Amino acid sequence: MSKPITALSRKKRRVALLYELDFVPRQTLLRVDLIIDDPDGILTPVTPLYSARFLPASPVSAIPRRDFEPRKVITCSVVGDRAVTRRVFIPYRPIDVNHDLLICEVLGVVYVKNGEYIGEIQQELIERLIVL
Amino acid sequence: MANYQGFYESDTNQVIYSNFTVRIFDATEGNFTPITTSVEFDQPLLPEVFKSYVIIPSSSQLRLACPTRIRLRVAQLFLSDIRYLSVELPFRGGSLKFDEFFGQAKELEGVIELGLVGERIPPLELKQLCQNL
Repeated sequence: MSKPITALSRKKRRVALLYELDFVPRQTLLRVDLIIDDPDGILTPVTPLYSARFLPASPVSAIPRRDFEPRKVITCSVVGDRAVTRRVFIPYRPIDVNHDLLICEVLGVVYVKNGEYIGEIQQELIERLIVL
Repeated sequence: MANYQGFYESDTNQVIYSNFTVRIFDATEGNFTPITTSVEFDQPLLPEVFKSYVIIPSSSQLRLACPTRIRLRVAQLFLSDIRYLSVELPFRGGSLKFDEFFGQAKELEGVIELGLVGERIPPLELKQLCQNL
């Protein structure tokens, strides 16, 4: 029997991601954990348009996600007889051409079988985000 | 539920002629449960940008909108802590109409808070997007 995969056997790298909210012109820094080593061999798919939004700022200064859930693609890969999912946040607004390009970059990663997209969720504080 | 109709613009720029449902969700008895509304009921609670964009379909026109596997994004207009108007929202984030919708919604009498639940695009539809890009 193979050893169960635990969070301890995974290596992560924490980065600050510059994320544009659906509400123009708001943007924020997200603290994101990337899986950079994993016994499954399935890492967080980091593509050029994703890493283009990583900032050198200390990840500690990036805000944790409390008030909203960023838009994202949840990828699915198959390892043996198991499905393994990974999350990639889409920091570009839907009206930005890079929004679709990043989604397709992620789906094009060799070990990604497919993915679903979930748009931004804002449950609080929208009133503060509205400029109009 | 009250139904409206018009072009839905997905986050991935797919345009679909769609029905938009408006409902009240009420949690007086615990979980949020949907309650049917009428066009007359909705009118004072809907932003102008939405009302001027959609049509109110007749029962035969309802069939004009093709079903889609995309779960449409929803705007939530809270009328109290336990009651909100749920509006399927045709406008995508970052667009002028999206901003206008929320800007007008926050000024409506009786609306105390706003929410947004993003759309869900299932794998097959997402794959098709990339084949066409």
